[in-house]
Amino acid sequence: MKIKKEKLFIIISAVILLLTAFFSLRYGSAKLTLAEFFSAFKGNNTSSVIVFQLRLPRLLAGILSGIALSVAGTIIQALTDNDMASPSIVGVNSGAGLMVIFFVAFINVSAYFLPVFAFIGAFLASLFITALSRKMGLTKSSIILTGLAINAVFSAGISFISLIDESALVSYHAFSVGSLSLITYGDILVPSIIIVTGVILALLISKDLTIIRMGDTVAGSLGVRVKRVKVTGIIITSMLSASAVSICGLLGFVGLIAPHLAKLFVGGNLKKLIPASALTGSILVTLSDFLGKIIFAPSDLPVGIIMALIGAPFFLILLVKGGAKNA
Amino acid sequence: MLEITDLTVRRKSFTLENITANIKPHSLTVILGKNGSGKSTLISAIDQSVNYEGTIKYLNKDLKTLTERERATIVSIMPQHLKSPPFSVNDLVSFGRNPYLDFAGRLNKLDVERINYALETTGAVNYKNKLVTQVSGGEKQLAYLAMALCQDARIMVLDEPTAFLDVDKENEFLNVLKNEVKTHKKTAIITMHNVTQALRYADSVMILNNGKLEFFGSKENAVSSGVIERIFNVTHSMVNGINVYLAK
Repeated sequence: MKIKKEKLFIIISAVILLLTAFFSLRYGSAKLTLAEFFSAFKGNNTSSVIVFQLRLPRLLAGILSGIALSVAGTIIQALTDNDMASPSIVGVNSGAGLMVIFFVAFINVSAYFLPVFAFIGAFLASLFITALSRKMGLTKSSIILTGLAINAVFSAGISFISLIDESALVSYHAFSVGSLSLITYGDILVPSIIIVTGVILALLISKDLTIIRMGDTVAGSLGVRVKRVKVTGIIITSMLSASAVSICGLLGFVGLIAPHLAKLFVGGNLKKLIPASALTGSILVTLSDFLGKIIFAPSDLPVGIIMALIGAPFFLILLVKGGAKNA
Repeated sequence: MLEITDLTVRRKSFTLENITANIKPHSLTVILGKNGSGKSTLISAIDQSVNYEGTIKYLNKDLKTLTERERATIVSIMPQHLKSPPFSVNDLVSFGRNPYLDFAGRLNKLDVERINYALETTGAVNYKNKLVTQVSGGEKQLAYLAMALCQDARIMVLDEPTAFLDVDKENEFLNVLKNEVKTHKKTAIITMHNVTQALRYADSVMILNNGKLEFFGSKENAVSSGVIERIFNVTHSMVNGINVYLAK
């Protein structure tokens, strides 16, 4: 019976993703007739610019950042042994964001290197929160409060830099809520390589990460090199979050919601949960972005706002449910 | 077989001092002691999760020098506080085979046999598809026992494994363990609170008191020496051939 549920999940998700992808290419602020849309595939014309230079990179960016954030969330939840954690909640995303905006504002670096700087910020933030949650045995709610504090510090840094550097302020708004508009292929080239590598690494350590959820003692006695797996996990999380942040800014909630939804269908074994979350995450982001694009067309609502509208209530429900359980 | 020599563990407000004991193979050794006597600390030392002075050797191999994977085939650990990870009981039990799996993690015929045996023996087969988060405390303890059986390590170390079990389930648990010791030539080291229950199943008894080894020897010597009455402030009587200890 369980196998059916998993198969059903994969089939339904794949269909939703394909439909979303099609609609994202088909519809947008510029209205294309069906004939115009199909003419895009025939060669150089206005429609092909719209479909292949504007909409396709944006769709790919949505899929990539959805995969990155949801897999990062899945790993962070395993590392902190806390289902409420996600890269945006514990401050990993804003750590990456602070570094990105710092280098954009003060040091004129090529955009290709942004993921590298984002990685440094994400790595430091995730090291901090993981060490804290394990050493102090943080409870589910206190880890969220700690994340809140970390986020507040990083966000203050981000706002500060955007105030003193006016050119940074222009893109600050879109960056801080998470947006996919005006994405080019150049923006996603380096992140896509990092994300693919990160997901492969994540799958390689998925069994050990799953075992670690039984606690360090049990994992160690089962032959898992606990420290090494954790450090690898932190590095992967940072790679993925950093890439996502350099594509779409501080997009929240994906890393929280996607693993939860996927877990309902495939369970908590990371071997299955990582691919399932990746699928769910990419749907969440592309679908939210598509909705943001068409609901208020021709104006383009950042994907982060739609994600927050879905994510915030979801987060509250989890918090209340978890709170009652741990009281 | 498991040789503990001059083991000292220093913790902030507690020291486990100078423990020397040679635990016999194919036996069930029960570690008794009041709360805070050092039972769990001793187990942490065996599982290498605390720093200690002295040595713990298995067949002359110092456990400290082994890799996690090598150690995993020699010692299995069931800690006192068991986590409830968000996957199925079946997954949990299967992870017992982890030390034997290749990089891809595929289970071979022997692995599957061991898993089925462990599930059947412990009765965990009846709820194997439930999530660990959904089962009762007792079912969880039996599931972790099944995982330890799967792991097939020579020495099974269990810290208060029956704390959440009703008396009949506790007997069932200890019978499974005892049977494993006898038929599969395992060595079990287990901490317990209930002295009467402990003596029903133990071959050897180790008694810790304030971080010191108070007694180590056969069950018969433990009973006749009067050490139990002294440490636990209990009276001894025989009921139907069972040593019964009641609080004074």
